[in-house]
Amino acid sequence: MSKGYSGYFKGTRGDKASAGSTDYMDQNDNFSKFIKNRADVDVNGFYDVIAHGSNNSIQIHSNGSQVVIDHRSAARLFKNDPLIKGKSIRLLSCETGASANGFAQNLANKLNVVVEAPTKLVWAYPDGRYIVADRSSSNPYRPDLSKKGKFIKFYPGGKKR
Amino acid sequence: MTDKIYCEKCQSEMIDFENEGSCGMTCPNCGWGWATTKHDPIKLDANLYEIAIEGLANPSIDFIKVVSKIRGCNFIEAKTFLLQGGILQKSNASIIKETAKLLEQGKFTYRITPNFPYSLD
Repeated sequence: MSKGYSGYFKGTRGDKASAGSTDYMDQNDNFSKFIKNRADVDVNGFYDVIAHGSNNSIQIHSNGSQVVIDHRSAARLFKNDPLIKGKSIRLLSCETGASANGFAQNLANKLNVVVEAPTKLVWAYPDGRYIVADRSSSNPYRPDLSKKGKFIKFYPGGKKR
Repeated sequence: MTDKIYCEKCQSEMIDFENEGSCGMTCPNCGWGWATTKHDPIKLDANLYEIAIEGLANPSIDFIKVVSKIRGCNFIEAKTFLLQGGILQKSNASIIKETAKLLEQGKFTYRITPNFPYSLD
């Protein structure tokens, strides 16, 4: 599993890492390369989890392949990780906060922690900047800056702020 | 057909990219760009699907080989399964798609539940 232990990732767990972030992506993934440059690691004490995602799953890099896991498997994974266990989590994972009963809410319920997640796709830039926005309908490779989203906090039991 | 995008750093024409998990655009001149999750619904489908086949009275060795491969069992176990039929595999969409392709090639009659929204192409 690509978790930054070897120190490839700035701002993630590893030899050169700051505290409070785990990267579950392939180290050659462009999103991973860009998001690792973000300035706000471990913001407000939320542990950053970096993974590709959707409304009901995240994708983790494991033994050379991509594995899609639901909130139950993710909860088991995070519970067994002493660096994440019990901490509030920020998901740097596309669309995981897109619905009231989606991945982020279910994860918050399972782990009994606050989970912050994006309502739309996360777009990362080489300088570490990132935005939340829909995909452009005219070009699926670029964000639609007129349709931005945001990060929302999901609380155990269903309260959303 | 998409419109041309020019790099905000060096004004070169940007090109789109896709790797296994990401997609976005990059500037071939200066490396500027952006990336997000690639839109691949089947890979991000966390539902579990069941693929089932009906029992066969006298399964051929070709059928037995296919079932043996899918279930990871020996030929005797595969034949026993084929005589009874039932749920051949329960897995995620990507794996079920590969299994369905094998069954199509072997001319099996099968069904997938819940409704499988992906093409086998």
